[in-house]
Amino acid sequence: MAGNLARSNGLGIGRGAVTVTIAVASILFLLLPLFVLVFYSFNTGKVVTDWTGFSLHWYGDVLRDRALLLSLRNSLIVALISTVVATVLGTMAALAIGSSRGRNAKLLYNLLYVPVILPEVIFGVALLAIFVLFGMTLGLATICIAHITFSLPFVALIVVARVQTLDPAQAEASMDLGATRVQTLYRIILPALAPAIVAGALFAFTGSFDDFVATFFTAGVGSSTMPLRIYALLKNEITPLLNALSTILVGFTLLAVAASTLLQGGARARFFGKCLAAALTGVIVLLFAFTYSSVDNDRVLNIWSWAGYIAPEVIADFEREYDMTVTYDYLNDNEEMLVKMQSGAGGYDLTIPTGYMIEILKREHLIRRIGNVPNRALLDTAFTNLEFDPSGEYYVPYTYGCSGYGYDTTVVTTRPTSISVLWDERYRGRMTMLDDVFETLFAGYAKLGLDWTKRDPADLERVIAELRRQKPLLRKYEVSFYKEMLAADEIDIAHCWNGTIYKLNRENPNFDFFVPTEGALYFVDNFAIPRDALHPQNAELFINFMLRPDVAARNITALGYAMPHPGAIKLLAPDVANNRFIFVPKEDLAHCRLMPDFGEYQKTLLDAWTRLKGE
Amino acid sequence: MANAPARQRSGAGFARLLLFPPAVWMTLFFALPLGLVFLYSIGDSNTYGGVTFGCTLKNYRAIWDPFFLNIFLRSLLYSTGITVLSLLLAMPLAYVMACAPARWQKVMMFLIIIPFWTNFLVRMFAFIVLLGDNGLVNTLLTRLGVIGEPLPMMNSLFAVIVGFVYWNLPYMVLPLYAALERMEVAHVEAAMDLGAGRFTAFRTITLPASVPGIIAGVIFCFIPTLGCFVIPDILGGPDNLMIGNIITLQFLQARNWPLGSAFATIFITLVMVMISLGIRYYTPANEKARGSVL
Repeated sequence: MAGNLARSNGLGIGRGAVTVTIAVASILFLLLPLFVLVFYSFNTGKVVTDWTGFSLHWYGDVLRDRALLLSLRNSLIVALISTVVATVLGTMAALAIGSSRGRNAKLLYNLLYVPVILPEVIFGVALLAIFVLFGMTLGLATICIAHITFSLPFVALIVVARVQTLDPAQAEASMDLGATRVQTLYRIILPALAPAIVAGALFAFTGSFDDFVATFFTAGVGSSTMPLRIYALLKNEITPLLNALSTILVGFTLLAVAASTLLQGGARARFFGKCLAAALTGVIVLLFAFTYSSVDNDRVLNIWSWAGYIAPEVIADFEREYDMTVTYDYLNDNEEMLVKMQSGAGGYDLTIPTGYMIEILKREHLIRRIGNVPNRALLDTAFTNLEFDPSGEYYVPYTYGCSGYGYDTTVVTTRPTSISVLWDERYRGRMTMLDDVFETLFAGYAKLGLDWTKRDPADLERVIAELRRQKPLLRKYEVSFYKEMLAADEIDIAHCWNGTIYKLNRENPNFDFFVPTEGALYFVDNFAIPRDALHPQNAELFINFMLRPDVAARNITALGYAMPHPGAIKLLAPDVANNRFIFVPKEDLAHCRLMPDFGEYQKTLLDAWTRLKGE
Repeated sequence: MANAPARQRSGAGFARLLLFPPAVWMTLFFALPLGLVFLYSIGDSNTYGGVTFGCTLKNYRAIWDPFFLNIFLRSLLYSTGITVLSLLLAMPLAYVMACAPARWQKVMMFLIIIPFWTNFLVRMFAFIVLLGDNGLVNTLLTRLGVIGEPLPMMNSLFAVIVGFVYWNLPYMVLPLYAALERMEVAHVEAAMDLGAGRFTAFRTITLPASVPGIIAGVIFCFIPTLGCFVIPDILGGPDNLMIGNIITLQFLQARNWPLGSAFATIFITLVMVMISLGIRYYTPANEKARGSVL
């Protein structure tokens, strides 16, 4: 009786209220972050948790960001190609493995799991090494290969599960009735497998569309996909621009599904379906047309640098003035750059590493001398022969700044001068230290008044003990999002770099910055030309352009970081020139040290840091 | 039926033919790089990254250390809990999906897939908006008077678990659904018509039918959770290093590729053993009786 009742209500059977509730709740849970994203994409302001009014301007920003659209195009190309290939190959593997038994099939089946479980970073590095070994140029093709390789086993595993439940009698019947093996495959087996194949293809597509790590290692010049762009943008700041982008993508998907549903309906519905499908195709064609550019191979400059580290208008002006096409791929981390350059992946003409990395790159012969840059003469000579390259031939200084502590003056009411405030119980759970081995270890050394260049193991021991004492007081170790956490009132003090507080202070004057008297690290970021650069002369032209006083002044204003360029400083608006967050006072900088290259000792420091974090 | 053995033979040949392209592909772009990882793991690290090839076990000896073992155990524990939670949420969803009319199946499938269309990192950031001290959940609960003080949810184990379950759920639901969708709902109906309770029907019909899906889902969730470092990084507090973080650190910070590779080699071996054990002890009841579909 109960069964009959359940059946008669049209919902199927065995679906008790609890089951349905959990199911609905799970779907809502999956969609919840999406609602948040869509909602805040219409927010005027920048702070993620603050609703300040309705606006569409983030959407305008997305449509104006040509590099972002280009990365979207790249992502679509890669996802489409890799899905098709991975689905075909994966289904073939699944049919072969799922339909045979015995030791070999079982072994192959187990092997399918290995790519699924391998930490992607290892897969990425190993694949990069293989590409370099084969002499392949990194680009969309290598990204596709990487994506096919990690998607194929996913597709195969999903389809195998289905193959194993197929009834062999159907295939037998088909062949008994005279169908060939191939006909049976197309007419009987594949249709029966369709749901699993579709699920596998969806997995492959979304996996590819969203992949970061493997793509990072296999991407080359100009082939940045959207996740790479987004990651680099997020490292710079959390911007509602990304919410708008996400909303556009979700909207597009919804419309595509609507179109396919309409196409299966009646005549009227099919008409609207066709119109909608045509419109969506049009949007994609527009995207491809908009991002298409024909390139003269000699008038090209490929830059590899931090997100937001060169004002976009400056690049546009350079392109116009010198009739060149600039590609600007984002860099996330000095060490990541070293891994990639060390592996022999090249193609970039210009990059902007931090000082200590210049020393390493020079020692490993990964960068070349910078020759013809007349505007070098305009630079402050205190910066042109720094300790990481006393010859001054391998780098041209770009920006400099220092670490310190940003804080909320409404909570920390007296301006701190000592680093010991970071050990203050009153701010328990409301502080972050940088998730950076050098910065945070140096803070420990500074707190204890020890010199880290002595490399004394007993000192390191004491420093770790001191930081261990601090750890329970911290909200977390954070290197990217302390600015947003400060702005959203999640924390009160953040170990950070000066430029971020410049940006934060412009939005909310309650935030201030101090450099402790015990000391901090300062950095100089520099132009460098990789050894394998294809257009080194163009890179030199660009560096020279960047050192023009008017151009440098525009960059200082846009970035919020100082440059050792007296001529440019004269051209700055007074509120920028006198800004103590950009131009950290001389007496504060006097407490700061440049980071040395520790060579082999870095492994010891990192080991200590890993243990501190992992305990 | 006279030609059955011949057909069996040519079926095996056909299977081999189908296997050839994917096998070549995976050998070139997966097995070969993996071999390289193993070579790295017995090599020496250079000061600035890269590897000098050699034959040493010192990287493996370096791993035999209470600190690393501890992290490994912790990661295992987290992963197990998170996988079980994901399974508990996914099972009802997959079941409801599999029983629903075809139209609704499509809609639900779509709703599960659509979050994938936004970047993973961007979605994780939405959790900051949701779980923060001044986030939506805390604001809502405070307004309703349920709590006086905001709950400290962000940067805690709780946030990490929420993030992981969120991330895993689709990977658990889809294989489960794929398995259950094949199940004859009529069998469940029959069992219940014959007087079986809801639980008995689940245990005797639904559960066995979903075993392949459960195995696939658990592997899709458990292992990546073990290796993932982004979620603890964004949502966790100061002390949540997982094994994935350690491996990544060796490549991207410590310039110690051999140590990272040694971790990876052990990781792969362990997981392979776990999977083989799981598969050895699971043999579908009808496997022996079945012929081949090819």
